[in-house]
Amino acid sequence: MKLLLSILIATLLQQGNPQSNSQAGSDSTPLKTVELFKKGIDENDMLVICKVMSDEEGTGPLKQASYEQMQSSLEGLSTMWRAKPFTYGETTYTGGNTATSATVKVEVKSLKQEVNFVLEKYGNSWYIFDIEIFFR
Amino acid sequence: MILGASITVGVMNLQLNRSSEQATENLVRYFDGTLSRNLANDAASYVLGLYADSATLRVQNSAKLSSSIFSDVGDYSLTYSLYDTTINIAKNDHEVVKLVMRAEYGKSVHEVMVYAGTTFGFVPEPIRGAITASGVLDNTIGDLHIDGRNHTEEGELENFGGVYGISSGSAFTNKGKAVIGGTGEDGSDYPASNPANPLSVEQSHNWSNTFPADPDGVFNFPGGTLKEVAKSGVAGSQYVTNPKDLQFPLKGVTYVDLPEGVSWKAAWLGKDPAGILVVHNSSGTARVENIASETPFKGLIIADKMFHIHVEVLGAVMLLSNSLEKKKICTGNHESKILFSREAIQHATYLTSEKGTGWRGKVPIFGWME
Repeated sequence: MKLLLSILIATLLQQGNPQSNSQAGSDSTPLKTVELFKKGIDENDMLVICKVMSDEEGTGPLKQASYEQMQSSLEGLSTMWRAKPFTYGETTYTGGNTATSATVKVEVKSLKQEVNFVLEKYGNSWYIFDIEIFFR
Repeated sequence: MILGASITVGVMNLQLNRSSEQATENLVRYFDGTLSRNLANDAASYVLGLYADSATLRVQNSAKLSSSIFSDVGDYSLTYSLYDTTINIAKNDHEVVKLVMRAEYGKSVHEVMVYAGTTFGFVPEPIRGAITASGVLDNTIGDLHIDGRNHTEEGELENFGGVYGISSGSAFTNKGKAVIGGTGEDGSDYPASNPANPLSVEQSHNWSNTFPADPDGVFNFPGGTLKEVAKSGVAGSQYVTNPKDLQFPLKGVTYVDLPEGVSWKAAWLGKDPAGILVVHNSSGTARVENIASETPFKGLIIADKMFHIHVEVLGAVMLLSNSLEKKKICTGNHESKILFSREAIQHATYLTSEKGTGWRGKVPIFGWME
């Protein structure tokens, strides 16, 4: 029983490794990352959500050890935005063609919210570093 | 000769007797005067203690105070009244209650008049600014409108009683171009502006290890007091470990005890939030983000860390962590205001004061006249 449990945990850990199962790979864009985040919310798939998140310090993708904390942190947001359509606005890059930072504007009309998703690029992939909500 | 001496001695005796009577009378008058004075003052304190426990207490017409209060001092009478009135201080009208206490002892009468505030509670000593922190606030405040001048609970400007706009134990750079005003050390008011008048900002304040380590430390309460008040449910207080369990409207003491490393990323405070909001955990890492509400929060917010402040506060904010946001940038909270309000804080803190512990520290006294 313990062995089976260990195998199950190991499998889950492997699936949860952001390096082995990157959300968008080399063709990732800030918008695709936010879309993936939204998909995770709508499908209540916290693993997908955690995989597109940066760590709080902005030094790299969220470490697996922090997934549980991030899930708890995003629980309220997730509940609030589930099944609420996102209207995607412009993406603004900081630093031109070699930008490593970008902002994707989103509107959640049903909640009268405007949201800025701030993303950081690590390698070829974009990760959500910050979410700022404007309540109108 | 003998007759003359007798008359002289008789006159002297008479004068001595008169002087003795006079001295005795003076002594009695002094004794009565002192006693009636002490009675009036002590009785005034007694009534203020009742008032501190029951803010609605009023005695419109002069009434006798029970003579059993100071029974060991003999025959006396105490009459008092306690009613609402208005006084003008520094060109501001203040609603107060006026206590008139009259004590009679022997032939002596003494009257004491006390003007007491109608808003109880207190402003904790560590609150030095509309936003007070030990850590670096540069990235936290964004382009907020921060005003440490004193405001009423409704947001109207008062003429005295303000604090700094920002008080930090660290150096401060206004990176986000926040609009900041406040009251300087000498009591002068500085309207909110960008760039801010440097006298409205206190930076690198030397706390000498007195900066509160936890929310109870802000009030100088024994550890665990606020949590106990929140758990007791008094006046709508609540304690949660998950913000989804909060009941609205927030009032009393709202204690959000977040697990370590967990942020409250969409902190919606609802309509008419008030009281003391605590966001804290034992490791001092509780972080509240995107804090907003339908109407202004009135009272005191104490959090370990805070970011994306989109809430209007009438009262004050205190951030306990020495490690505040360093990298993320808050870009658009200029429509939100943190306005210092002594009145709102007093309303919030009154709840935490124990009943039956007297009026000192609870009831503000505007004047005490004899």
